[in-house]
Amino acid sequence: MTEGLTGLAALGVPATPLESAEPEQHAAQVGARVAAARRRRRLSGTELGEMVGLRKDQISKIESGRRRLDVAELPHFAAVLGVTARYILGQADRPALAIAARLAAGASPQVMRSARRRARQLFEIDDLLTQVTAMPPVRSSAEGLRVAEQARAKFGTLPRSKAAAQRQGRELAELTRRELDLGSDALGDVAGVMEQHFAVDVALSPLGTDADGLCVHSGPAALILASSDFPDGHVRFTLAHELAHHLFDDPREVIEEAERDMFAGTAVEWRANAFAGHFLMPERGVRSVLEWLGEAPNAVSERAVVALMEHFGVSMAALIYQLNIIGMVSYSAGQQLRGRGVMSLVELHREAAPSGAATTVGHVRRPPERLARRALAAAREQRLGLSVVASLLERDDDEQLWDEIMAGHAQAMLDTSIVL
Amino acid sequence: MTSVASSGPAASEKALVWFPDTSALVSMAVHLPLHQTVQATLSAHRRVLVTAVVAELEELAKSSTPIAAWAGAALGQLDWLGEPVRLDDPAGTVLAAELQEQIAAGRPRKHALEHFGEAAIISLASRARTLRPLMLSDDYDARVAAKNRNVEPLSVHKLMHLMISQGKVTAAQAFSFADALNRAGRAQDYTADELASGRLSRVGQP
Repeated sequence: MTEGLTGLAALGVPATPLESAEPEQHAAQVGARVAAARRRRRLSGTELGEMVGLRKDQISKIESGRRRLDVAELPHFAAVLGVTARYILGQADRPALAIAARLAAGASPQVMRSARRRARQLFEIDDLLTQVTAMPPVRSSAEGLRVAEQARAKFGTLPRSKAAAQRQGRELAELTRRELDLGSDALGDVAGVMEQHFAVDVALSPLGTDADGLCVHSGPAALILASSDFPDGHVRFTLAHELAHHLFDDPREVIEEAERDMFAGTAVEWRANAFAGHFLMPERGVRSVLEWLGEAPNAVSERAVVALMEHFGVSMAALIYQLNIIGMVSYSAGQQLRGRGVMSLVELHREAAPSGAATTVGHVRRPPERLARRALAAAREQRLGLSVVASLLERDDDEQLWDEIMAGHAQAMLDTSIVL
Repeated sequence: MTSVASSGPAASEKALVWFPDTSALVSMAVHLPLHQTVQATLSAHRRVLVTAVVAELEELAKSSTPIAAWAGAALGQLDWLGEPVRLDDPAGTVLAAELQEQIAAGRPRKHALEHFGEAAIISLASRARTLRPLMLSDDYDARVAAKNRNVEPLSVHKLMHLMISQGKVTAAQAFSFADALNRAGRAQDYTADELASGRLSRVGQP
């Protein structure tokens, strides 16, 4: 490619003092970063040149600041050197982009790749909306802040026993329900409650069934993502479990959850599961429903199990786990129930679970509400294009999407002052 | 060869300068009469081709995407746009990198250089304060980004509408061009009446 004509000068337009300030110094800094990244990759100048389609002497000139990089060359250099274009240009990564870059770079099990990819995409969109629309950072409600503060103050020490871990999980769940004034009944929109109170973005996406989800939290940024390729009851438990990690201030920046992770025999996971169980199915609420169903104390029938799943919107595994924790079903009785199979029980007692919500796989695509609201407004006002909404909603039918989101919104008229 | 191809007088206080992007050049390559008509019309004004557009076309031409052949054809139709202009100044490259992220908006890239052509155009054109820059683009998101940087965007369809209204082509001719683009999967179906009236939905925006 030619190296002759450059920038505004080629158009006969003078650059402003700011635009023309110290280009040589900038080129030298860009060159130094290219050279450093090349050395980290253990590439010679010749090898790098071959990979990006330039000669060795051109690489040498770039690294010494005597030849500037064309914008079209940037992505090739970034890809080959394993860095971002931002790094080469010396632009500091903003917080959300820094997290996205770490998600891209971090070693991760194969089963978590799609979850990481989606999380990274959401952080990139967060950054874009922050830049273009001055979107304010995610905020906790006053009640949510009180929960987070008390969680840090009371549960800063990791419990040593399973019983202590389960106790902590239960205490935090009860504290959360109390502070948020949620009573002891079933929760409707779990994702909405989490976003409303805990400065966390929540997303659901069909990510397959190898991974349940993940929680990413770093500084003020937090994202909880769950795979919606599981039954809705399972998804709700995953969300509550991830919320526990966040509220207990788990020191890991990225908490990845395949099923074996959520039920690993560790204090951190016992505590998170106990929180999820008590948050979704508080003991008082469970006993109240059983009383309404006319169940004898401490004898939970198969039909009642189905009705409780329907009522609290949870999976049978989560319900039996919780019934066992609160002493209403023994371990062996729980195993027997599980052995009957959830679908056969639901089929047998269909009238007790008319919606089947707990066992239905929704494959739901739910972007974080904060991002979706901003993106739709920005797209309607044509401050941003359609891609940001399409990415959030995971859609690729641009024409149809445009018709849907722009319906009834004023559109720009043709400027007739253009004389051809 | 001059840096900016120019064969017509300045039309107004600020001279129009056309910056065709990758998507528009691919669309024009679909149908030779369309290419010839657009070339004839825009040749009355200054035109600028940026290196990033050429690089993007080269990337597309060697890809296995359905538009590889048209990208290859477009590469053979660039003479009328003059010698490509590099964008390598610090302010320009930083702005272009930001714009590329904005236009991609989290969508996975189809190839390494996707949206760098439009981003380079907007970065360069938006700083050409003494000119009146126009970007010809069939990418809606790029047109939105251009508009927000005071670069006037037009899709090929919107250009056809403008050409009809100024007597450069008939509605029937424009319809045949639009039909070719539709058959190539480059755009929805538009009638001669829609092209004449400018009721073009998304391709008419912004």
